[in-house]
Amino acid sequence: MLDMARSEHKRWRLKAITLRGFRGVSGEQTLRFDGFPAILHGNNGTGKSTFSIGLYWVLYGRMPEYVLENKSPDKFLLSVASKEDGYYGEVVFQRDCNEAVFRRDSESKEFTLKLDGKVHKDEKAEAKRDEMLGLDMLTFVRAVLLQQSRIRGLLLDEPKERNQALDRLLGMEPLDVLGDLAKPKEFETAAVAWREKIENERLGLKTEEDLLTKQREDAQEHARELKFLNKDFNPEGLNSAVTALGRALQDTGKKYDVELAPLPKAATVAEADKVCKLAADGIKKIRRDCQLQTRLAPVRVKLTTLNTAKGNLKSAMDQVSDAMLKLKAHTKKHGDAKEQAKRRAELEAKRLAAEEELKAANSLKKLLSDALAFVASREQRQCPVCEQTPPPGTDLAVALKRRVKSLASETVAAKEKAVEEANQRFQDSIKILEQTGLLEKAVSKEREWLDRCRKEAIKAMEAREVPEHKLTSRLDEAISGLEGKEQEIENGLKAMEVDLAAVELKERNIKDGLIPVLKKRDEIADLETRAKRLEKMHEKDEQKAAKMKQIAADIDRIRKAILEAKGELADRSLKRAGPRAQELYEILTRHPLFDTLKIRPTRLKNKVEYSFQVSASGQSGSEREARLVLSDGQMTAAAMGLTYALAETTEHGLDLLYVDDPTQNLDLPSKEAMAKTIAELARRKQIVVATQDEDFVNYLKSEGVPELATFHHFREWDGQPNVESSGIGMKA
Amino acid sequence: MSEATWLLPRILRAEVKLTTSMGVALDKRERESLVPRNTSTLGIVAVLFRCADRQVDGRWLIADPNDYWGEITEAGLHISKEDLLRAECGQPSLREIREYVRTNWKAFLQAFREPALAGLEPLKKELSRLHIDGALRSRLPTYQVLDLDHRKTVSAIISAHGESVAGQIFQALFSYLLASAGYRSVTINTVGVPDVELGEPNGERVGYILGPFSQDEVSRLHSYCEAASDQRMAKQIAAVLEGKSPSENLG
Repeated sequence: MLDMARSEHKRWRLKAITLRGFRGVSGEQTLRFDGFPAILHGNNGTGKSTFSIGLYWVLYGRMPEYVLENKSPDKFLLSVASKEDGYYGEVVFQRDCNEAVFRRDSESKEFTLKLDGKVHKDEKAEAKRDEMLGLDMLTFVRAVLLQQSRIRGLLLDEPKERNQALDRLLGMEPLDVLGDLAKPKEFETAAVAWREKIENERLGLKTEEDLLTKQREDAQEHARELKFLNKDFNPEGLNSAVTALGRALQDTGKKYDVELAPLPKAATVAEADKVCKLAADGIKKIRRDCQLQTRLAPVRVKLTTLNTAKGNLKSAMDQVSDAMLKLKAHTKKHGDAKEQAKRRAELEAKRLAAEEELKAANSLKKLLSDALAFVASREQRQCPVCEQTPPPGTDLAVALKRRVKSLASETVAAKEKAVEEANQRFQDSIKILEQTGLLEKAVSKEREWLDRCRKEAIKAMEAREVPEHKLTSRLDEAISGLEGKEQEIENGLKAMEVDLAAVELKERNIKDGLIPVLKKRDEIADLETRAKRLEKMHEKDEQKAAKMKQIAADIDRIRKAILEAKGELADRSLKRAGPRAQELYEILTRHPLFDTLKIRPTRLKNKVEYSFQVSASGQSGSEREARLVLSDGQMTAAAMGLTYALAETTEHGLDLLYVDDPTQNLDLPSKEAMAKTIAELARRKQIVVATQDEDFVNYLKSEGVPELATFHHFREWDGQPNVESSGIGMKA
Repeated sequence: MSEATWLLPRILRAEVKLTTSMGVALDKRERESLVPRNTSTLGIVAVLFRCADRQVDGRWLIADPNDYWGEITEAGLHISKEDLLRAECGQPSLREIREYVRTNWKAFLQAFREPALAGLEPLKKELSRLHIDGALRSRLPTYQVLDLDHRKTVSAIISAHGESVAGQIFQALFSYLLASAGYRSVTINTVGVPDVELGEPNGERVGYILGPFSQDEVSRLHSYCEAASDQRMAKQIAAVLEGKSPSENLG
């Protein structure tokens, strides 16, 4: 029996698991298996699972899958009862007389494998481990360390989730990861983006070209209106037009005796612009420096001088004439100066005579007044003046009084008036005489001015002497001659303006007509250069697009190959496990109608789907989707059967099946069937079962498992499991 | 117009095609007419495209049909635009002739735009007269002709005369363009094959197209053989350089 239990020792079996400070083990505890099957049973929370977790951690340094990835391993794996910072584990496998000892230390982060007396560390230990066990971590979880949580997906309603669960059971995760990586769409999108870029840039260039073409056509139309021809719309045409402009400018300069530097050639717009400016300067120079302009200036100066002289002369003559007329009128009215002097003397004499008479009258009046006063005081009968006796009846005083009064009112007044008049006339004669003097002086002054003007006119005419009477006519002749000359020059200038206008028109036409056309032409040429440069870039872009497309195609091929491989692998695994899965299905499920289980992969375009069907003895038409016709318990049993079958048929270096809680969700008959299965398995390989189900333990016992396996009874937990071991291992 | 820098074969035969589609057909007879009889003869096919592809429209694509490419059937050869573009990369011996045509074609067409628009006969007369006078080059504009104007000219000629006559017009233009490189004799076959035969090269730029090698390169090869004392090979190469069969110098 022992030999049976230890059979198949071509492969490694579990000898012992030692844990220290690890989760449910606060100190150090070793669970020995010694290559025998084992049943770990006991209530929940007594530390059974600590050993399956420990096995997994020591071998692979990971936590179980159900622990969230973002949890720190320390928080989960550190002993729950001790305050130690580190934890440690050791797993020993045995094969024949050989041992492989795996150790992992959380503090030193060291992982070692001692094999054949040699210690391998870390990556080397990992490589050696994979080589020795002949499986990777995923396969270990799938084919050795069986947990019921892995089959829960098969019970779910969503086909997608059932598919994923089957993928996991079949170990398809790496292929799915690869399949997820192999996404051609991004590369296809990139290829499209590169080509869109090329198209957009080409479109942009075309739009720009259309716009420039339109602008050039408009410019050409305008240039045609300015008499340019199609053949002129290129650098040669521009040069011809500029050459013609230069020639016209030279000819005009020559015609008007202005020396000009020849205009340079112009094959480009910039050169033509420059030439147009030079031409404009040349035109200005001709206007400024031409002989006509040189000749016109002195003529105009002389003409101005003569006209001024003429004007002055005329004005002076007029003023002399005017002064003389005034003098003449004055002398006509008042006589000449001699007569006026004579008259003045007469009037002076008259004035003096009048004054004498007035003086005499006043003297008489005084005398009479004095006499009256005397008479009045002395009552004289005799006139005190004439010493005559007034006629009788005459009152002397009254007579005197009358006489004084008469003298005062008539004689003296008349005399005074006569004096005043004489005096006035005398004063008038003085004024007239003075006026005559002034008029004579004015005439003299105007004559002097006239004389100066005459001299100036003679000088302006550049003559030596001109008779006075001919002066005006000679001036007129000179002015007329100069005006003729001026007119002649002005006519010449007008003709020059016409010539220059023609040159200016040429220059303007080039500037406004031809240069815009050539500018647009240059812009199109630049655009074409840019387009060529861009085309070269587009060749590279096109290569990139093609490369992206190629990568996308390659990835698609890879993706298809992955799918193909997945389908093939799944098919092969399921075919290999099929008979055993059917056997276990029959034992564990015991369905009265659907006694046949069939799981098949189907390759669709982008995925592999599984049909998990049951049927009545495999009869066609009786197939049903298992999830639809099996109860949860039956489904669990079927899934467990498939899991065991897959695990058993997976080839690797371990002769071990470590099953955690296999009876969850099973009814008693199923548990009994499961116990039979475990017992059957224990007869040919090392199977370790952890369970809290004492019914199941009893079934195992009744199936004779104690003869095949060690029973580790986890009785209680007080910081670490309290384990009581019995069975074959203890006997050995 | 730049001088021809390439070595002119003694006889240059060409099938000259205009197409508004994406390819041309070269029938058996045409293809055979381009098979060189000796090393001093060159046979080419030249195709002018106007197929709404700005990359090739208005350009001559030149290839040697004797150097296999494209699809050969009993009827002859179908040459697509892509075939010709590939041939441009793969037939280095025609590099210089292509470069000559590429450099001068736009200016040449611009120079003869008016007679070409006037018609085939006036054009031929003008080309022939100028060729005889050696004045073809003097007519060429000195400025860079815009691609836009060039494409417009090609379109205008085709619009004015239709594809068939325009094909002959472009044939004449192509012939005299190559003739301007230094050929005295120009034969344009309106009925027979090949379309064009140029001969009597003048000057000293007469040479041979020897597979992918120019005459200069073959001369260097000759000197290397001599330096390496491979007299037999040197004699054979010397024969080729003299326009003879390689075995002729071996006695």
